[in-house]
Order: sequence, then structure tokens, then C-alpha cells
Amino acid sequence: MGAFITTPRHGIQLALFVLGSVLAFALAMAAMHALPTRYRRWITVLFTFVAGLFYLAEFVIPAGVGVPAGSSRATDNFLSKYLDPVGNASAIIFAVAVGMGILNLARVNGAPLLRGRPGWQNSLAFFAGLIAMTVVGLTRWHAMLGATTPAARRAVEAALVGRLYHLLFDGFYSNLGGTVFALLAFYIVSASYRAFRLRSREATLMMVTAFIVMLGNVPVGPTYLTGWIPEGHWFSFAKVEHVSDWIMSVPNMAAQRALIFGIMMGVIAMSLRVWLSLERGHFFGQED
Amino acid sequence: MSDVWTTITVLAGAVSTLAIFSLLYRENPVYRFFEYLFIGLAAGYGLVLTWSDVLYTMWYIPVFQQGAWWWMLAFAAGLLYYTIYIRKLAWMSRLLIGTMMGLSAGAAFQQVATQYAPQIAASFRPLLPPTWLGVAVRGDSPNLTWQQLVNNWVVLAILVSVMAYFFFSFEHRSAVMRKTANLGRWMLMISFGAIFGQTVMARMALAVSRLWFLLVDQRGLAGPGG
Amino acid sequence: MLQDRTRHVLYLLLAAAIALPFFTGTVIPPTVGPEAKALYKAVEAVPNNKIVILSLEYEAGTLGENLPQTRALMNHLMKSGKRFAIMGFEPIGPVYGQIEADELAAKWHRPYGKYWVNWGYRTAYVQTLKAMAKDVAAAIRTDHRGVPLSKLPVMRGIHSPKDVGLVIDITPSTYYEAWMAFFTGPAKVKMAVAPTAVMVSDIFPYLDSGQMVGMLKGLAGAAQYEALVFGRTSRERGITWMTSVSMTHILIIALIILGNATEIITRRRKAVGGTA
Repeated sequence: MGAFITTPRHGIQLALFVLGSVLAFALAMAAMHALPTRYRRWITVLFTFVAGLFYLAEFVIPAGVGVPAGSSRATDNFLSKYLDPVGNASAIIFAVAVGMGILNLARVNGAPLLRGRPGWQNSLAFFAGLIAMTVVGLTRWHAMLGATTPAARRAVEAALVGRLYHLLFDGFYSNLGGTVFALLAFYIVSASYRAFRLRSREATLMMVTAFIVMLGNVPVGPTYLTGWIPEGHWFSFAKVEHVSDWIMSVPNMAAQRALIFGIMMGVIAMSLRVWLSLERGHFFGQED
Repeated sequence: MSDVWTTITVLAGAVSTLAIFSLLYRENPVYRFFEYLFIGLAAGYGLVLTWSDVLYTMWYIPVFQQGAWWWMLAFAAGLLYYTIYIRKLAWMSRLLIGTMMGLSAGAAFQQVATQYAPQIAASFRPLLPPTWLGVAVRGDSPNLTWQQLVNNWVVLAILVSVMAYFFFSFEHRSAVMRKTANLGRWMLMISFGAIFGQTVMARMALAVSRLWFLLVDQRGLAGPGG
Repeated sequence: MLQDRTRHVLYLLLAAAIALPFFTGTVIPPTVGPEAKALYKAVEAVPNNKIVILSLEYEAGTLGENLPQTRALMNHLMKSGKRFAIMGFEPIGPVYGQIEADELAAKWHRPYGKYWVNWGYRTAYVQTLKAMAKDVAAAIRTDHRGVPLSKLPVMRGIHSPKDVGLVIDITPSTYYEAWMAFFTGPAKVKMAVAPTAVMVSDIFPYLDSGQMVGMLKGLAGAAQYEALVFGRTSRERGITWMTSVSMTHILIIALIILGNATEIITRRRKAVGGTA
């Protein structure tokens, strides 16, 4: 039976097995759907629990349990061999979900475009970018599939589809993405003069620390500010890069570690609540 | 011909950059247009890469070229996400999301053990010198310098005080607790100042790369870092 | 109106501060910090029979920092002939990594498939890392073009995590936590990170505990690494750009001091005017 299921198929057999598996999956979901509504939450709770239990059990069960003696996979237990298929299945499932993001964006931008609302030109820009990049990207990818040598790949890049791809990716996408985040630098400069006010001793401490770290990070601090102090001299601890390094690796490190402990508590609490389906909220509490 | 395309691509980059920078002058339709264009391009590119790097290599080739038909079940399971759009079937999307979240929750316990637990171990640092007035005090850490000793005490003080600051489950009644939490607040200011100092450098680096492209080197068509 | 004018003047000042070193050609050599030095030593110490994994999780918005870091590391890896694989849990990182590696491979004569490989973009990072922690080759299976890893000479002898000499995560986000939790921690593989500068503060506890062996602190880290690979006086991108970043830092410090001084003077004038 195991061999029947895990033997690769080809030709008509493959088509039958593929259709059959989809049909079987659909039937299983239909059977679950046919159950009374009150069971649906428990099915979800069960699946969530078993999924979490798999990874937890695989981690805590000692190495060698359920594995033949003398096996080459000394760190494994009887659950470890399922990590790879679960990982692959999860990757495929998450990849299929990407379409949802596209659908939502299309829905949000489709309404202004179809109804001629103000800003429809922006929605048109969205769809133009989406369709152009998808079509050109997939066409180029398909052409590259058949290009197995560097010369063939260069030929694809020199063709129209390659040129268009570089126009969209290198010309538009990369520059637009980089510049959106670069705007923040200008806002910081504006805020530095207009908003950063040292109205308390804590704020002053924060700003002095920031000044030291900023000057220690960039070459101008160590070179021109404290470059006159020779390395190895008893006073070299006062070199701005050493002070900055000390601030980062001692007080900052200790404070961040304390934050990590708090995060750790939160991760444990939240993971337990999700795993045991104790979480409440719009998503978790919905009933059909 | 390639020079023409290169010129067009560089011009497109320059126009895109200036269009986004136009927001610095004031809000305008050109900026909005290019912002939406960017979102569309990003969405399209994500779609292309999801197919080419993930679905094609991990699903299409195994199923349709190697005959591993069972991966079709994973694809079918992924389609359950889309039942969220059909009210009657929406519970199936929660089934799938719950399963994925269960996997992540189960994995999180490993995260606590392998990522966070070593932090607890690393917090226990030697607080006494190896020798005191010629008498051996501790056998381990024989090379502990006085600077490291001072740093260890500073780390301990800051760690305890910052943790005390974040104890919100009970009121800080005693003066010791209040003063310790207050010290924690001051130490957090040092950490925030360090974060601010680093953040400034991060943002400036991005602006530098953009102006480099505009003013100096447009040849770097590998991306805006060029 | 006045506020707008002030804002525009400030923006122009920033642009001038950035652009001035471009045209004067001034480059201030960086001072190499302990974290970059430690990462350099860790890369040098990777044996030739092991592979280095470069996990590239950046996007277009952080290329200004992450790309120079990638370039500096790839230059070092290719110069010293170390095998490496690029991959990413975000779509764009491996694409840019491929572009940079293609360019540097021509410079250092390190052909694809023999010295380096692109495993491409992967989703489900927790599950993928857990699978990799048992068998790297079986979890990845193909490169980004669908070529089986077994057909690539660079992957010869690379199976378990023991065959990975170092993982370097170049990222603007927290994927390094997943790497530590599910791969480098359980499999006891060395790990380093090249984050954007925003996240540098968060990494120090892991450096202190030994969970990370080194770090490149944003663009400054990239410049320091370039100084180690090419020398302090080289004109690599990170070193060149850091001079402009220096000017911007001086500008910001000056503006903060000026802004606060202006407010203090204004407040005092009001107080004097009030009591007069």
C-alpha cells in the first residue's frame, strides 16, 4: 500500500492520480463541511494542536528514539524524517497564499478604476505595473529556462523581453523602492532642527549617547575628534570609537537582554495560547 | 541598440527617483502615480518569483515531470486560503491558518530553548576577581581583567534594573523597587540613544545611495546600490 | 509658508552635505571595529570543504546598506576561494545577490556552480530551516533555476549542517532569530549577521553570548569590511559613501544643538520680555 502511494507516476497514470488526489481532498473537505457546525471549531482545534505537537515532540523526543541502531542520522528520532515533507508542503502552501495578497490589492485598486473615482489614474498605474511585471517577468523566466549556457542567457537579456525586464526592474522598481525609504533621511534632518528638544534630563542622556554613537560610527569621529590619542595609550579608552563600542556592548547590550527576557515570556505565553487554541479575538472566536 | 535601452533604463530610474523626491517639496499627483506604480511592480515581481523559485521548483517539477503526484495535495490545501472569500466555506481557511499557526507555535518552544535560553546562561558572569591580595578567590576565569570585572557588575546592575522597570504585574511599593525601576528607565535611555544613533546612519545611507545614483554613477543598473 | 521654506532649506543642506564629498573626491578611511574584525576572521577560518550560506532577506528599500554589505562579503569569499550559497526568505534578496555575484564572479574568475550557487527564494522559513537542520541538500533540492543540487560541483560533499561552515544573514528584519532558533542553534553552526543599522542594537546580546560570531553594522560595517579586504585607502562603495554619511551626522548634530539653542534663547527672551 505504501509503495502504491509513494511510487511516482507518469503519463495517463499521473493525470489520474493528480485528479484523484484533488478529488479525494475535495471529498474529505466536503465530508468535514457536512458535519454539524459545532464540530468545525473542534476540527480546527485538533489540527492546530496536532501541528504544534509534531514540531514540539520532534524537538523534545531524544535522538535515537524510534531510529534503527547504527543509523547514519544519529540526531534523529522517529518524527525527524517527516520534517522535510512538512517543510516542503508548508512552502507550497505559503506560496499559493501569495495570490491572496494580489487579489486584495486588485480589489482595493479595482473599485476606483471601474467607477472612475478620483485617483483612478493611480489605480491604473498599479495595474499597469502589476500586469507589465508579471507578463514580462514570466516571459523572461520561461525564455531563461531554455537558456542553459551563458551565451544563451546573454541572448535572452539582449532580446526585447530582457530589455523590458531590465527597464521595469532596474529602471523603475529598484529606484522607486530605494527612494521611498531615502525620504526618511530628509525627515530626520527636518525633525533634528524643529522637533528634537531636550526638555528633560532623560532626553539629554539619550541625546548625548546618540551623539557619541553617531560620531563613533562614522570615520570623521575617530579620525578628527579623537584621532590624536594614540592607540594603546592609557587614555585611549576615551577615543570616541571605544566609548561608542563600550556603550553598545555593555549598557545597551544589558538593556536589550532584559528586553529579550520579556519577549521570551511573551513568546511562551502566546505560543501556548495559539497551540491550545485559547486565543480569543475576531479570527479565533468566529463561528459559522 | 543596447545603448538606447540603457539610456531609457537610466532615464526611467532618474525620473522615478525625482518623482518620489518631489514629495519633499509637497504632496503631488506625480508622486502618488509613481508610488502606486511601485506597488504594482512589487506585487507583480513577488508573483513571478513565487512561481519561478518556489512553486515551479518545489511543486510543478516534482508533480508533472517527476511524477510525485502527492504534492498536489499540498497545492490543494493551499487553495483553502481562498475559501475566505466564500462565506459558507470560510471556516476551511481558518482550518488551514490554524494548522500553519499551530506549526509555528510548536516551533516557538524550540525557539525559546535554542535562541533565548543561552541568553539566560550568558547573564551569569564572574563578579569576583580571580585573586584578591594574592589569595585565589575563584578557580575559573583566571585571566579576568579588572575592566571585565567592572563591566560584569555594570551589566548585572543594568539587567536587573531594566527587568525591574518592566515588572508591571505588581505595584512598585518599596523604595528599593522604585529606585531600581527608575535606574532601569535611565539605562533604557542609553539604549534608546544608541538605537537613535544607529537609525540615523541607516536612513542617511539610503539617501546617500540615491544621490550617488543621481549625481555620480548611473551605470549601476544592478540596482540602486550601484 | 516660513515653515515650508525652513524645511526646504534643511533638505537642501542635507543634499549638499551628501553631495560635497562626491565632487571633492574626499574619502575618510574607516576605523575597523571589533565586530567586523571578528566576522572577517570567522570567514577566513571556514574550511575549504565547507560552504558558507549567505541569506539575503533585503528588499529594494534597504539596498543602500545591504548591497554594499553583500558586495564586501562576496568579494572576500570569492577572493579567498570559499564556497558559498545565496538564498533568501524574501523574494528580492537572491535576485540582487545573483546580480552582484555574477559581476564579481567575472572579476575573481569564480564560475557559477563551481564556487557558488543560488538556492533562490524560499517561503515557510520556519519549516524550511527545520528541514535544513536535518539535511541541507534534501531540504533545498534544486538551485533557483530548478537544477538539482547533486549536479553542481559546488555542492559536492554538502549534505548535513555539519558541512556548513558559517551562516551570514544580510537582513533588514529579524530572520536571524529564526536562523539561530532552528538551524545554527540546534545544529551548532557558526552564525553572523549583517543587519541594517537600525537593528544593530538588538544583536549585541547574541554577540555577547557567542550565538553570533560577528556583525557588519550597516553601511559602516560594510566600509570596515571593505577596509579589511582591500585596505583602508581603497575606494570601494561603502568606504566612499561613509564619508558622505559622516557629513550628514555632523549636520544633524549641529542642527539638534542649533534647534535647542534657538529655543533656549527664545524662551529667555520671552521670560525677560514678560518681566520687563
